[in-house]
Amino acid sequence: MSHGGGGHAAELYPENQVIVIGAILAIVGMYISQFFPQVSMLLGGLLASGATVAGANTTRRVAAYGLGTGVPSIGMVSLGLGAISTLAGVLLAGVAISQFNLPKELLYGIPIIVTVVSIVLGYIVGKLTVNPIGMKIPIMVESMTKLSLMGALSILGFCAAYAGGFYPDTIIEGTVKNGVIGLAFIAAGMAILHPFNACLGPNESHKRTLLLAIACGFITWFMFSIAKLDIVSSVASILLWGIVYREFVKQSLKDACSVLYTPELPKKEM
Amino acid sequence: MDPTLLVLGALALSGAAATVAGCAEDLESDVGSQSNPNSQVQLGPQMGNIHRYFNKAISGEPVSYGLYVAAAGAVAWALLNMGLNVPIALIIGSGIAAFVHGAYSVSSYLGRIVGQSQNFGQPVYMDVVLSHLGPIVGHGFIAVFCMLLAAYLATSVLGNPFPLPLVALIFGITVGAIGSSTGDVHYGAEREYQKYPFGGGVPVANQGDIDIKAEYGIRNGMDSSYFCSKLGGPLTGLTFGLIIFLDGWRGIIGEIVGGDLVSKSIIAIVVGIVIVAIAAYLNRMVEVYARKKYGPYTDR
Repeated sequence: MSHGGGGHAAELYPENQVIVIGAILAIVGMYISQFFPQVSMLLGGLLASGATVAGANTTRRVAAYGLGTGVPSIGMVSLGLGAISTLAGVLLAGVAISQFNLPKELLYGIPIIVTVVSIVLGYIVGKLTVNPIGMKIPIMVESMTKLSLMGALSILGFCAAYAGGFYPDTIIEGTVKNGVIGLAFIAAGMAILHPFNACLGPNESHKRTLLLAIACGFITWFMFSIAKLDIVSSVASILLWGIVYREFVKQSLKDACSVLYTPELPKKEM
Repeated sequence: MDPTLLVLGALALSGAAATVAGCAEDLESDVGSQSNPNSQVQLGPQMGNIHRYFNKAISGEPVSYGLYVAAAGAVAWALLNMGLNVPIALIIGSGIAAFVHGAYSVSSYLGRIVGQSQNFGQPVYMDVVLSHLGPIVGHGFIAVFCMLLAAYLATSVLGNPFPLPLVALIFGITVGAIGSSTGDVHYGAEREYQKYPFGGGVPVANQGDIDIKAEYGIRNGMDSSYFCSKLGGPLTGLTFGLIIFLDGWRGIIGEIVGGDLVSKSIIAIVVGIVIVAIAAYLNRMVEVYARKKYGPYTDR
Protein backbone atom coordinates (compact mmCIF):
# COMPACT_ATOMS: atom_id res chain seq x y z
CA MET A 1 0.00 0.00 0.00
CA SER A 2 1.57 3.26 -0.95
CA HIS A 3 -1.42 5.56 -1.25
CA GLY A 4 -2.57 8.41 0.98
CA GLY A 5 -2.47 6.56 4.27
CA GLY A 6 1.10 5.33 4.07
CA GLY A 7 2.18 3.53 7.21
CA HIS A 8 3.62 0.43 5.59
CA ALA A 9 7.10 1.80 5.93
CA ALA A 10 9.66 -0.42 7.60
CA GLU A 11 8.87 -1.11 11.23
CA LEU A 12 11.46 -0.29 13.85
CA TYR A 13 10.01 -2.83 16.24
CA PRO A 14 7.61 -5.67 15.38
CA GLU A 15 4.00 -4.84 16.31
CA ASN A 16 3.50 -7.84 18.60
CA GLN A 17 6.58 -6.97 20.60
CA VAL A 18 5.22 -3.45 21.22
CA ILE A 19 1.81 -4.87 22.17
CA VAL A 20 3.25 -7.33 24.69
CA ILE A 21 5.51 -4.72 26.27
CA GLY A 22 2.71 -2.14 26.40
CA ALA A 23 0.26 -4.60 27.97
CA ILE A 24 2.77 -5.79 30.59
CA LEU A 25 3.74 -2.22 31.52
CA ALA A 26 0.10 -1.15 31.89
CA ILE A 27 -0.84 -4.18 34.00
CA VAL A 28 2.20 -3.76 36.25
CA GLY A 29 1.23 -0.08 36.58
CA MET A 30 -2.27 -1.07 37.76
CA TYR A 31 -0.85 -3.35 40.47
CA ILE A 32 1.51 -0.57 41.59
CA SER A 33 -1.50 1.79 41.80
CA GLN A 34 -3.38 -0.79 43.85
CA PHE A 35 -0.66 -1.69 46.35
CA PHE A 36 1.18 1.64 46.60
CA PRO A 37 -1.57 4.28 46.28
CA GLN A 38 0.80 7.06 47.37
CA VAL A 39 2.76 6.71 44.09
CA SER A 40 -0.22 5.64 41.99
CA MET A 41 -0.10 8.64 39.67
CA LEU A 42 3.68 8.84 39.48
CA LEU A 43 4.30 5.21 38.47
CA GLY A 44 0.81 3.97 37.51
CA GLY A 45 0.24 6.92 35.19
CA LEU A 46 3.69 6.57 33.64
CA LEU A 47 3.18 2.86 32.96
CA ALA A 48 -0.40 3.35 31.72
CA SER A 49 0.97 5.49 28.90
CA GLY A 50 2.65 2.30 27.66
CA ALA A 51 -0.81 1.04 26.68
CA THR A 52 -1.58 4.17 24.64
CA VAL A 53 1.76 3.87 22.83
CA ALA A 54 1.02 0.26 21.92
CA GLY A 55 -2.51 1.25 20.82
CA ALA A 56 -1.13 4.02 18.64
CA ASN A 57 1.26 1.55 17.07
CA THR A 58 -1.61 -0.79 16.18
CA THR A 59 -3.63 2.15 14.84
CA ARG A 60 -0.71 2.85 12.53
CA ARG A 61 -0.90 -0.62 11.05
CA VAL A 62 -4.66 -0.92 10.57
CA ALA A 63 -5.30 2.70 9.53
CA ALA A 64 -2.67 2.46 6.81
CA TYR A 65 -5.32 0.66 4.74
CA GLY A 66 -7.44 3.81 4.59
CA LEU A 67 -6.90 7.32 3.29
CA GLY A 68 -6.50 8.95 6.67
CA THR A 69 -10.11 10.01 7.18
CA GLY A 70 -10.91 6.93 9.27
CA VAL A 71 -8.09 7.21 11.78
CA PRO A 72 -10.03 9.15 14.44
CA SER A 73 -12.90 6.68 14.18
CA ILE A 74 -10.51 3.81 14.88
CA GLY A 75 -9.28 5.53 18.02
CA MET A 76 -12.84 6.13 19.19
CA VAL A 77 -13.84 2.51 18.48
CA SER A 78 -10.83 1.35 20.45
CA LEU A 79 -11.74 3.47 23.47
CA GLY A 80 -15.44 2.62 23.18
CA LEU A 81 -14.65 -1.07 23.38
CA GLY A 82 -12.16 -0.30 26.12
CA ALA A 83 -14.66 1.62 28.24
CA ILE A 84 -17.23 -1.18 28.01
CA SER A 85 -14.67 -3.89 28.83
CA THR A 86 -13.24 -1.91 31.73
CA LEU A 87 -16.59 -1.34 33.40
CA ALA A 88 -17.73 -4.89 32.63
CA GLY A 89 -14.51 -6.41 33.93
CA VAL A 90 -14.47 -4.33 37.11
CA LEU A 91 -18.13 -5.03 37.90
CA LEU A 92 -18.01 -8.71 36.90
CA ALA A 93 -15.49 -9.44 39.64
CA GLY A 94 -17.64 -7.74 42.27
CA VAL A 95 -20.82 -9.51 41.16
CA ALA A 96 -19.08 -12.88 40.98
CA ILE A 97 -17.89 -12.50 44.57
CA SER A 98 -21.25 -11.42 45.99
CA GLN A 99 -23.41 -13.87 43.99
CA PHE A 100 -21.32 -17.05 43.95
CA ASN A 101 -19.47 -16.68 47.25
CA LEU A 102 -16.10 -16.72 45.54
CA PRO A 103 -13.04 -15.74 47.61
CA LYS A 104 -12.32 -12.01 47.91
CA GLU A 105 -8.88 -12.54 46.41
CA LEU A 106 -10.58 -12.61 43.00
CA LEU A 107 -10.51 -8.81 43.12
CA TYR A 108 -6.75 -8.92 42.67
CA GLY A 109 -7.37 -10.45 39.25
CA ILE A 110 -9.39 -7.50 37.92
CA PRO A 111 -6.69 -6.35 35.43
CA ILE A 112 -6.55 -9.91 34.05
CA ILE A 113 -10.38 -10.13 33.87
CA VAL A 114 -10.51 -6.78 32.03
CA THR A 115 -7.81 -8.04 29.64
CA VAL A 116 -9.79 -11.19 28.86
CA VAL A 117 -13.12 -9.36 28.47
CA SER A 118 -11.58 -6.79 26.13
CA ILE A 119 -9.90 -9.44 23.98
CA VAL A 120 -13.18 -11.37 23.65
CA LEU A 121 -15.16 -8.19 22.89
CA GLY A 122 -12.61 -6.96 20.37
CA TYR A 123 -12.58 -10.34 18.63
CA ILE A 124 -16.40 -10.38 18.35
CA VAL A 125 -16.54 -6.81 17.01
CA GLY A 126 -13.70 -7.58 14.60
CA LYS A 127 -15.61 -10.61 13.26
CA LEU A 128 -18.75 -8.46 12.88
CA THR A 129 -16.87 -5.84 10.85
CA VAL A 130 -15.68 -8.57 8.49
CA ASN A 131 -18.86 -10.60 8.10
CA PRO A 132 -22.06 -8.56 7.98
CA ILE A 133 -20.36 -5.21 7.35
CA GLY A 134 -17.88 -6.60 4.84
CA MET A 135 -14.70 -4.60 5.44
CA LYS A 136 -11.97 -6.13 3.32
CA ILE A 137 -8.99 -5.45 5.54
CA PRO A 138 -6.95 -8.62 6.08
CA ILE A 139 -5.75 -7.71 9.59
CA MET A 140 -9.12 -6.41 10.80
CA VAL A 141 -10.02 -9.04 13.41
CA GLU A 142 -6.52 -9.15 14.83
CA SER A 143 -6.27 -5.35 14.96
CA MET A 144 -9.69 -4.83 16.55
CA THR A 145 -8.73 -7.32 19.27
CA LYS A 146 -5.49 -5.47 19.95
CA LEU A 147 -7.14 -2.05 19.85
CA SER A 148 -9.87 -3.15 22.25
CA LEU A 149 -7.22 -4.55 24.61
CA MET A 150 -5.14 -1.38 24.51
CA GLY A 151 -8.21 0.85 24.93
CA ALA A 152 -9.26 -1.11 28.02
CA LEU A 153 -5.78 -1.18 29.54
CA SER A 154 -5.24 2.54 29.03
CA ILE A 155 -8.65 3.45 30.52
CA LEU A 156 -8.24 1.15 33.52
CA GLY A 157 -4.57 2.16 33.85
CA PHE A 158 -5.29 5.87 34.06
CA CYS A 159 -8.44 5.38 36.16
CA ALA A 160 -6.57 3.16 38.63
CA ALA A 161 -3.75 5.70 38.77
CA TYR A 162 -6.25 8.50 39.41
CA ALA A 163 -8.38 6.65 41.97
CA GLY A 164 -5.48 4.82 43.62
CA GLY A 165 -6.53 1.25 42.93
CA PHE A 166 -8.69 -0.96 40.75
CA TYR A 167 -11.19 -2.35 43.23
CA PRO A 168 -14.79 -1.89 42.04
CA ASP A 169 -15.62 0.57 44.86
CA THR A 170 -12.47 2.61 44.21
CA ILE A 171 -13.07 2.83 40.46
CA ILE A 172 -16.81 3.58 40.71
CA GLU A 173 -16.45 6.16 43.49
CA GLY A 174 -13.15 7.63 42.36
CA THR A 175 -13.57 7.92 38.61
CA VAL A 176 -17.05 6.99 37.36
CA LYS A 177 -19.23 9.05 39.73
CA ASN A 178 -17.09 12.17 39.35
CA GLY A 179 -16.85 11.82 35.57
CA VAL A 180 -13.06 11.51 35.33
CA ILE A 181 -13.61 8.36 33.24
CA GLY A 182 -14.84 10.77 30.53
CA LEU A 183 -11.39 12.37 30.50
CA ALA A 184 -9.82 8.89 30.43
CA PHE A 185 -11.97 8.05 27.42
CA ILE A 186 -11.19 11.12 25.34
CA ALA A 187 -7.59 11.79 26.42
CA ALA A 188 -6.43 8.21 26.02
CA GLY A 189 -8.41 8.05 22.76
CA MET A 190 -6.56 11.05 21.38
CA ALA A 191 -3.25 9.57 22.52
CA ILE A 192 -4.10 6.41 20.55
CA LEU A 193 -5.46 8.04 17.39
CA HIS A 194 -3.37 11.20 17.13
CA PRO A 195 0.17 9.89 16.46
CA PHE A 196 -0.66 8.15 13.20
CA ASN A 197 -3.37 10.66 12.28
CA ALA A 198 -0.76 13.42 12.51
CA CYS A 199 2.15 11.61 10.90
CA LEU A 200 0.44 9.77 8.03
CA GLY A 201 1.49 10.27 4.44
CA PRO A 202 3.79 8.64 1.91
CA ASN A 203 6.91 9.67 3.85
CA GLU A 204 5.59 8.54 7.23
CA SER A 205 8.29 6.94 9.38
CA HIS A 206 7.80 4.57 12.26
CA LYS A 207 10.35 6.43 14.36
CA ARG A 208 8.48 9.74 14.22
CA THR A 209 5.09 8.10 14.83
CA LEU A 210 6.44 6.23 17.85
CA LEU A 211 8.11 9.35 19.27
CA LEU A 212 4.86 11.25 18.94
CA ALA A 213 2.97 8.32 20.47
CA ILE A 214 5.23 8.43 23.53
CA ALA A 215 4.82 12.22 23.75
CA CYS A 216 1.02 11.87 23.53
CA GLY A 217 1.07 9.19 26.23
CA PHE A 218 3.05 11.49 28.51
CA ILE A 219 0.78 14.48 27.91
CA THR A 220 -2.21 12.29 28.81
CA TRP A 221 -0.40 11.34 32.01
CA PHE A 222 0.25 15.07 32.59
CA MET A 223 -3.47 15.88 32.24
CA PHE A 224 -4.34 13.25 34.84
CA SER A 225 -1.57 14.41 37.17
CA ILE A 226 -2.89 17.96 37.04
CA ALA A 227 -6.48 16.78 37.51
CA LYS A 228 -5.34 14.87 40.58
CA LEU A 229 -3.37 17.96 41.73
CA ASP A 230 -0.32 15.75 42.15
CA ILE A 231 2.62 18.14 41.87
CA VAL A 232 5.45 15.60 41.73
CA SER A 233 3.96 13.60 38.88
CA SER A 234 2.88 16.78 37.06
CA VAL A 235 6.48 18.00 37.03
CA ALA A 236 7.83 14.56 36.13
CA SER A 237 5.33 14.08 33.31
CA ILE A 238 5.86 17.51 31.77
CA LEU A 239 9.65 17.09 31.88
CA LEU A 240 9.53 13.68 30.21
CA TRP A 241 7.00 15.01 27.69
CA GLY A 242 9.32 17.92 26.89
CA ILE A 243 12.28 15.63 26.25
CA VAL A 244 10.36 13.31 23.91
CA TYR A 245 8.50 16.14 22.13
CA ARG A 246 11.77 17.97 21.50
CA GLU A 247 13.17 14.78 19.98
CA PHE A 248 10.07 14.48 17.75
CA VAL A 249 10.41 18.07 16.52
CA LYS A 250 14.12 17.61 15.84
CA GLN A 251 13.51 14.37 13.95
CA SER A 252 10.71 15.99 11.90
CA LEU A 253 12.87 18.93 10.90
CA LYS A 254 15.66 16.51 9.97
CA ASP A 255 13.35 14.42 7.78
CA ALA A 256 11.74 17.38 5.97
CA CYS A 257 12.93 18.16 2.45
CA SER A 258 13.62 21.73 3.54
CA VAL A 259 12.83 24.00 6.47
CA LEU A 260 12.07 27.61 5.56
CA TYR A 261 11.60 30.65 7.79
CA THR A 262 10.45 33.04 5.06
CA PRO A 263 7.24 33.21 3.04
CA GLU A 264 8.55 32.00 -0.29
CA LEU A 265 7.30 29.15 -2.45
CA PRO A 266 9.83 26.80 -4.03
CA LYS A 267 9.98 27.05 -7.83
CA LYS A 268 7.81 24.49 -9.61
CA GLU A 269 9.58 22.04 -11.87
CA MET A 270 7.44 21.84 -14.97
CA MET B 1 -33.86 36.14 44.78
CA ASP B 2 -36.55 34.30 42.89
CA PRO B 3 -35.03 30.97 41.74
CA THR B 4 -36.84 31.14 38.37
CA LEU B 5 -35.15 34.49 37.67
CA LEU B 6 -31.77 33.01 38.57
CA VAL B 7 -32.37 30.12 36.20
CA LEU B 8 -33.37 32.52 33.41
CA GLY B 9 -30.25 34.59 34.03
CA ALA B 10 -28.02 31.50 34.00
CA LEU B 11 -29.70 30.37 30.79
CA ALA B 12 -29.06 33.74 29.14
CA LEU B 13 -25.45 33.74 30.34
CA SER B 14 -24.81 30.23 29.02
CA GLY B 15 -26.43 31.24 25.71
CA ALA B 16 -24.07 34.21 25.50
CA ALA B 17 -21.07 32.05 26.45
CA ALA B 18 -22.08 29.53 23.78
CA THR B 19 -22.27 32.31 21.17
CA VAL B 20 -18.76 33.51 21.94
CA ALA B 21 -17.47 29.94 22.13
CA GLY B 22 -18.96 29.01 18.75
CA CYS B 23 -17.45 32.06 17.08
CA ALA B 24 -14.00 31.58 18.61
CA GLU B 25 -14.04 27.87 17.87
CA ASP B 26 -14.83 28.39 14.21
CA LEU B 27 -12.17 31.05 13.71
CA GLU B 28 -9.63 28.88 15.51
CA SER B 29 -10.36 25.91 13.28
CA ASP B 30 -10.07 28.17 10.20
CA VAL B 31 -6.59 29.36 11.21
CA GLY B 32 -5.48 25.75 11.40
CA SER B 33 -7.63 24.39 8.51
CA GLN B 34 -8.96 21.71 10.82
CA SER B 35 -11.54 19.02 10.01
CA ASN B 36 -13.41 19.51 6.71
CA PRO B 37 -11.04 21.77 4.75
CA ASN B 38 -8.12 19.78 6.07
CA SER B 39 -8.34 16.93 3.56
CA GLN B 40 -8.04 19.44 0.71
CA VAL B 41 -5.01 21.10 2.33
CA GLN B 42 -3.57 17.63 2.74
CA LEU B 43 -4.12 16.88 -0.98
CA GLY B 44 -2.64 20.22 -2.10
CA PRO B 45 1.04 19.25 -2.37
CA GLN B 46 0.13 15.99 -4.13
CA MET B 47 -1.54 18.08 -6.85
CA GLY B 48 1.52 20.31 -7.13
CA ASN B 49 0.22 23.13 -4.95
CA ILE B 50 2.92 23.89 -2.42
CA HIS B 51 1.05 25.88 0.22
CA ARG B 52 1.50 27.84 3.42
CA TYR B 53 -1.65 26.70 5.22
CA PHE B 54 -1.42 25.37 8.75
CA ASN B 55 -2.31 21.67 8.55
CA LYS B 56 -3.92 21.05 11.94
CA ALA B 57 -5.04 17.45 11.66
CA ILE B 58 -6.10 16.76 15.27
CA SER B 59 -8.94 14.40 14.47
CA GLY B 60 -12.30 16.14 13.88
CA GLU B 61 -13.34 19.24 15.78
CA PRO B 62 -15.84 17.42 18.02
CA VAL B 63 -13.27 14.95 19.31
CA SER B 64 -10.50 17.50 19.78
CA TYR B 65 -12.78 20.00 21.54
CA GLY B 66 -14.12 17.17 23.66
CA LEU B 67 -10.56 16.61 24.80
CA TYR B 68 -9.76 20.25 25.57
CA VAL B 69 -12.96 21.03 27.43
CA ALA B 70 -12.90 17.71 29.31
CA ALA B 71 -9.31 18.34 30.38
CA ALA B 72 -10.20 21.88 31.41
CA GLY B 73 -13.30 20.59 33.23
CA ALA B 74 -11.41 17.92 35.15
CA VAL B 75 -8.73 20.37 36.28
CA ALA B 76 -11.26 23.07 37.19
CA TRP B 77 -13.35 20.53 39.08
CA ALA B 78 -10.32 19.44 41.10
CA LEU B 79 -9.42 23.06 41.89
CA LEU B 80 -13.02 23.87 42.88
CA ASN B 81 -13.03 20.91 45.26
CA MET B 82 -9.82 22.28 46.75
CA GLY B 83 -11.72 25.48 47.55
CA LEU B 84 -10.34 27.81 44.88
CA ASN B 85 -12.79 30.47 43.71
CA VAL B 86 -14.75 29.80 40.53
CA PRO B 87 -13.30 32.20 37.90
CA ILE B 88 -9.69 31.35 38.76
CA ALA B 89 -10.39 27.61 38.70
CA LEU B 90 -12.07 27.91 35.29
CA ILE B 91 -9.20 30.02 33.93
CA ILE B 92 -6.48 27.66 35.16
CA GLY B 93 -8.40 24.69 33.69
CA SER B 94 -8.72 26.45 30.34
CA GLY B 95 -5.03 27.36 30.47
CA ILE B 96 -4.02 23.71 30.84
CA ALA B 97 -6.33 22.87 27.92
CA ALA B 98 -4.72 25.62 25.82
CA PHE B 99 -1.30 24.15 26.51
CA VAL B 100 -2.48 20.69 25.41
CA HIS B 101 -4.06 22.27 22.34
CA GLY B 102 -0.79 23.94 21.36
CA ALA B 103 1.19 20.73 21.82
CA TYR B 104 -1.21 18.75 19.65
CA SER B 105 -1.35 21.51 16.99
CA VAL B 106 2.40 21.76 16.41
CA SER B 107 2.80 18.00 16.32
CA SER B 108 0.05 17.63 13.74
CA TYR B 109 1.51 20.34 11.47
CA LEU B 110 5.00 18.85 11.61
CA GLY B 111 3.71 15.29 11.24
CA ARG B 112 1.44 15.94 8.27
CA ILE B 113 3.86 18.20 6.37
CA VAL B 114 6.92 16.02 6.91
CA GLY B 115 4.80 12.96 6.07
CA GLN B 116 4.65 14.11 2.44
CA SER B 117 7.62 16.42 2.31
CA GLN B 118 10.16 14.25 0.47
CA ASN B 119 7.81 12.97 -2.24
CA PHE B 120 6.05 16.21 -3.14
CA GLY B 121 8.61 18.85 -2.15
CA GLN B 122 6.47 20.55 0.49
CA PRO B 123 8.79 22.49 2.82
CA VAL B 124 8.19 22.95 6.55
CA TYR B 125 7.48 26.65 7.11
CA MET B 126 8.61 27.40 10.63
CA ASP B 127 7.31 30.97 10.41
CA VAL B 128 3.82 29.56 9.72
CA VAL B 129 4.08 27.37 12.82
CA LEU B 130 5.23 30.21 15.04
CA SER B 131 2.87 32.89 13.74
CA HIS B 132 -0.24 30.67 13.65
CA LEU B 133 0.26 29.09 17.04
CA GLY B 134 -0.77 32.23 18.91
CA PRO B 135 -4.15 32.72 17.19
CA ILE B 136 -4.89 28.98 17.41
CA VAL B 137 -4.18 28.70 21.12
CA GLY B 138 -5.76 32.08 21.89
CA HIS B 139 -9.03 31.45 20.09
CA GLY B 140 -9.02 27.93 21.50
CA PHE B 141 -8.64 29.33 25.02
CA ILE B 142 -11.66 31.63 24.56
CA ALA B 143 -13.78 28.79 23.19
CA VAL B 144 -12.76 26.38 25.94
CA PHE B 145 -13.27 28.93 28.70
CA CYS B 146 -16.76 29.85 27.47
CA MET B 147 -17.82 26.22 27.13
CA LEU B 148 -16.42 25.47 30.57
CA LEU B 149 -18.40 28.40 31.97
CA ALA B 150 -21.56 27.06 30.33
CA ALA B 151 -20.83 23.59 31.71
CA TYR B 152 -20.24 25.02 35.18
CA LEU B 153 -23.54 26.93 35.02
CA ALA B 154 -25.32 23.79 33.86
CA THR B 155 -24.06 21.75 36.82
CA SER B 156 -24.27 24.41 39.53
CA VAL B 157 -27.35 26.51 38.66
CA LEU B 158 -29.37 24.77 35.97
CA GLY B 159 -29.52 21.47 37.84
CA ASN B 160 -27.70 19.20 35.42
CA PRO B 161 -27.26 15.98 37.44
CA PHE B 162 -23.96 14.88 35.87
CA PRO B 163 -20.50 15.77 37.24
CA LEU B 164 -18.58 18.72 35.74
CA PRO B 165 -15.88 16.76 33.82
CA LEU B 166 -18.53 14.70 32.03
CA VAL B 167 -20.75 17.70 31.20
CA ALA B 168 -17.63 19.52 29.97
CA LEU B 169 -16.81 16.60 27.69
CA ILE B 170 -20.30 16.62 26.17
CA PHE B 171 -20.30 20.43 25.79
CA GLY B 172 -16.90 20.29 24.11
CA ILE B 173 -18.13 17.69 21.64
CA THR B 174 -21.19 19.89 20.96
CA VAL B 175 -19.23 23.08 20.27
CA GLY B 176 -16.89 21.15 17.99
CA ALA B 177 -19.82 19.64 16.12
CA ILE B 178 -21.53 23.01 15.59
CA GLY B 179 -18.27 24.66 14.58
CA SER B 180 -17.59 21.91 12.12
CA SER B 181 -21.08 21.72 10.59
CA THR B 182 -21.89 25.46 10.43
CA GLY B 183 -18.50 27.11 10.26
CA ASP B 184 -16.69 24.91 7.76
CA VAL B 185 -19.22 25.75 5.06
CA HIS B 186 -17.85 29.28 5.02
CA TYR B 187 -14.28 28.17 4.69
CA GLY B 188 -14.07 24.81 2.90
CA ALA B 189 -15.36 24.88 -0.63
CA GLU B 190 -15.91 28.62 -0.73
CA ARG B 191 -12.48 29.83 0.30
CA GLU B 192 -10.09 27.11 -0.83
CA TYR B 193 -11.74 26.97 -4.27
CA GLN B 194 -12.34 30.65 -4.78
CA LYS B 195 -11.21 30.47 -8.40
CA TYR B 196 -14.06 28.10 -9.33
CA PRO B 197 -17.66 29.31 -9.87
CA PHE B 198 -19.89 29.59 -6.80
CA GLY B 199 -22.35 26.81 -6.10
CA GLY B 200 -20.64 24.09 -8.09
CA GLY B 201 -19.36 22.05 -5.16
CA VAL B 202 -15.95 20.43 -5.42
CA PRO B 203 -15.83 17.82 -8.22
CA VAL B 204 -13.25 15.06 -7.75
CA ALA B 205 -11.15 16.41 -10.63
CA ASN B 206 -10.62 19.69 -8.76
CA GLN B 207 -9.76 18.15 -5.40
CA GLY B 208 -6.45 19.32 -4.02
CA ASP B 209 -6.30 22.19 -6.53
CA ILE B 210 -6.56 24.73 -3.73
CA ASP B 211 -5.86 28.46 -3.96
CA ILE B 212 -2.38 29.23 -2.71
CA LYS B 213 -2.35 32.95 -3.51
CA ALA B 214 -4.07 35.46 -1.28
CA GLU B 215 -5.41 38.92 -2.05
CA TYR B 216 -1.91 40.05 -1.25
CA GLY B 217 1.04 37.64 -1.21
CA ILE B 218 0.86 33.95 -0.46
CA ARG B 219 -2.20 32.75 1.40
CA ASN B 220 -1.95 31.30 4.88
CA GLY B 221 -4.35 30.26 7.60
CA MET B 222 -4.62 33.77 9.00
CA ASP B 223 -6.13 35.02 5.72
CA SER B 224 -8.80 32.33 5.97
CA SER B 225 -9.59 33.30 9.52
CA TYR B 226 -9.75 36.97 8.58
CA PHE B 227 -12.14 36.14 5.74
CA CYS B 228 -14.33 33.98 7.99
CA SER B 229 -14.40 36.47 10.85
CA LYS B 230 -16.81 38.58 8.80
CA LEU B 231 -19.62 36.04 8.45
CA GLY B 232 -18.60 32.45 9.14
CA GLY B 233 -17.47 32.84 12.74
CA PRO B 234 -20.28 35.09 13.98
CA LEU B 235 -22.87 32.90 12.24
CA THR B 236 -21.47 29.81 13.90
CA GLY B 237 -21.67 31.54 17.25
CA LEU B 238 -25.18 32.72 16.56
CA THR B 239 -26.25 29.22 15.57
CA PHE B 240 -24.83 27.67 18.70
CA GLY B 241 -26.19 30.40 20.94
CA LEU B 242 -29.64 30.07 19.37
CA ILE B 243 -29.58 26.31 19.84
CA ILE B 244 -28.83 26.69 23.56
CA PHE B 245 -31.24 29.58 23.96
CA LEU B 246 -34.21 28.22 21.97
CA ASP B 247 -33.78 24.80 23.51
CA GLY B 248 -33.93 26.37 26.93
CA TRP B 249 -37.06 28.33 26.05
CA ARG B 250 -38.67 25.17 24.71
CA GLY B 251 -38.55 23.71 28.18
CA ILE B 252 -39.49 26.95 29.91
CA ILE B 253 -42.62 27.47 27.77
CA GLY B 254 -43.69 23.93 28.62
CA GLU B 255 -43.01 24.69 32.26
CA ILE B 256 -45.12 27.87 32.22
CA VAL B 257 -48.10 26.71 30.10
CA GLY B 258 -48.41 23.03 30.96
CA GLY B 259 -49.99 21.51 34.06
CA ASP B 260 -48.79 17.97 34.71
CA LEU B 261 -45.61 16.35 33.42
CA VAL B 262 -47.19 14.83 30.30
CA SER B 263 -48.73 18.07 29.01
CA LYS B 264 -45.50 19.95 29.81
CA SER B 265 -43.52 17.45 27.75
CA ILE B 266 -46.01 17.52 24.88
CA ILE B 267 -45.92 21.33 24.75
CA ALA B 268 -42.11 21.28 24.78
CA ILE B 269 -42.06 18.77 21.91
CA VAL B 270 -44.61 20.75 19.87
CA VAL B 271 -42.68 23.99 20.39
CA GLY B 272 -39.52 22.17 19.29
CA ILE B 273 -41.17 20.90 16.12
CA VAL B 274 -42.48 24.39 15.31
CA ILE B 275 -38.99 25.89 15.76
CA VAL B 276 -37.43 23.22 13.52
CA ALA B 277 -40.11 23.78 10.84
CA ILE B 278 -39.58 27.55 10.83
CA ALA B 279 -35.79 27.11 10.70
CA ALA B 280 -36.02 24.61 7.81
CA TYR B 281 -38.30 26.95 5.84
CA LEU B 282 -35.97 29.93 6.40
CA ASN B 283 -32.95 27.88 5.37
CA ARG B 284 -34.60 26.84 2.14
CA MET B 285 -35.55 30.47 1.37
CA VAL B 286 -31.98 31.67 1.92
CA GLU B 287 -30.55 28.85 -0.21
CA VAL B 288 -32.89 29.52 -3.14
CA TYR B 289 -32.24 33.26 -2.91
CA ALA B 290 -28.44 32.77 -2.88
CA ARG B 291 -28.46 30.41 -5.86
CA LYS B 292 -30.67 32.76 -7.88
CA LYS B 293 -28.65 35.82 -7.07
CA TYR B 294 -25.04 34.58 -7.19
CA GLY B 295 -24.86 31.14 -8.78
CA PRO B 296 -24.44 30.29 -12.44
CA TYR B 297 -26.53 27.19 -11.87
CA THR B 298 -30.24 27.62 -12.63
CA ASP B 299 -33.22 25.24 -12.66
CA ARG B 300 -33.01 23.04 -15.69
